[in-house]
Amino acid sequence: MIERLIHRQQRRAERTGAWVLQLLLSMQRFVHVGLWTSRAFFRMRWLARPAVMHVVIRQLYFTGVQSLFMVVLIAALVGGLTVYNIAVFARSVQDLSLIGSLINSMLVQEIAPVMVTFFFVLRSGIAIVTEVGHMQVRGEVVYLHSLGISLYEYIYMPRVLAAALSGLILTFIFVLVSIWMGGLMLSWMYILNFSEFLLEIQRGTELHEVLAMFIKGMLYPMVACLFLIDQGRTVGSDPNQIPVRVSSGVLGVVMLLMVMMLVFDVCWGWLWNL
Amino acid sequence: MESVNIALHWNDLTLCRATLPNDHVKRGERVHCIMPEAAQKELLEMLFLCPLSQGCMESKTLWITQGERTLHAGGDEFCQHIACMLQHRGLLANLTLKENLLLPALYSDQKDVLQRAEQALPYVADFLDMQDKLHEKAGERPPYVHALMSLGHCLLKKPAIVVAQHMYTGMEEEYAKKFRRKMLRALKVWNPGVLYLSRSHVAQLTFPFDRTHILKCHKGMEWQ
Repeated sequence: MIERLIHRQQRRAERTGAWVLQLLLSMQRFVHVGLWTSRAFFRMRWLARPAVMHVVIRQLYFTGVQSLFMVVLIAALVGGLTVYNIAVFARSVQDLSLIGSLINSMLVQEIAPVMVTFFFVLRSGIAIVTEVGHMQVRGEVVYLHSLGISLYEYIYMPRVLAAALSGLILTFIFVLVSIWMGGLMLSWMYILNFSEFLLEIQRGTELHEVLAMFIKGMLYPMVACLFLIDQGRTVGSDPNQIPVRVSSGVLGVVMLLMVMMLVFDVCWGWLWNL
Repeated sequence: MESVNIALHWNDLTLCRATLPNDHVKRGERVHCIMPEAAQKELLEMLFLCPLSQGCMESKTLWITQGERTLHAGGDEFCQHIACMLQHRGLLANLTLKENLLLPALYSDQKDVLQRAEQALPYVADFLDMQDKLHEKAGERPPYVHALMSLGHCLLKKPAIVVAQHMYTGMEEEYAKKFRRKMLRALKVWNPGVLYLSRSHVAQLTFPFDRTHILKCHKGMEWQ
């Protein structure tokens, strides 16, 4: 009886140990990809290499330009709805001066970077895992090595760079469109005219908050991209692993995003209160 | 690169826990090494992963001599004198055939490498019978096209040493013959040293070799 109990406890301990080891290994892999990709970026040799520049431009076009219409549409819908709800709430508590600070803390700082990151993951992120996975399956990774081409520079860095730049610009556009749309909605509904609305926004906005929006807009898609690349790299030679890695990549990014939001807000708040 | 006294040497080269007999490949020589695929992969990693600075030191067991100079595997200069023909893959699916052919030159920092490759491209494409397909997207292609692309890379680079894996796996008889003819013609003109890697003696049919080495891996290492 006791032996069985000990045996069961041992098995449980083994499972927990294996899970922790697996987690640590995947964290190590993720950090490794991040460091080598950053190294490839900061060495700046990619600027003189037409092959890498072609990929950077293609990725920027695919991730940034082709997403623009959908991001504007989402911004108009989500942003308009958020601003409207905030204004209704501010009116119900009879304090319209809340509009600026609420829009800033909710829409500008949280909703815009997160929505852009979600959109990036659903559109480009899935394509990245699938592409990197297929490259593993087809043996293109070994082939690139044989040509003396660094995967970090040719495959990963352009995607991460495109994610960061597109994220930054799309977040800014998202904020502009949603505020503009929200302002129009409020003036159509006679809640607040457009110039008063802009004044409220200006009153409720501080420089460090705008800075936080830009950092988040760049950081979230960049880390998501690195995570998805790491998932693509683990496909190996089995094509059946591609859909598995896609779904675990998307779920992983959602979890990672939640953790990042929490950590960033705590750290940023602490930094500005120093 | 045009210098005739370039040779690839190896000494105490251990692959899958077995040592390959010490030898060298000079320009114009053809040396055949029969070894399992795991050992071939290990050798190719030594040749090409180190120069990418991905965590390994300069190799003291593999080097190229160029006159008085010694270029150890792991350096950029070493890579300039050597090219590789892989067994299974010779192109990237999402690029056009032209981009695939020019890929190593497009990746180079030196502008003259790209200029030279672009000048030679029409002749190489003509030799490979690809002149009218250059702008097609590569996608999925048969082994013959992969082999042709590998040969095309070598022809554009014209290195002194070529490390080639057995290319005919999965190729139809007719295409294998066609590729063999093209490869022999190309080698005759540019005359590099060839280190040919295969799993069995079947490669003897490819072309006559000056020397053949057999590497037997220790048990349990063959399929890793």
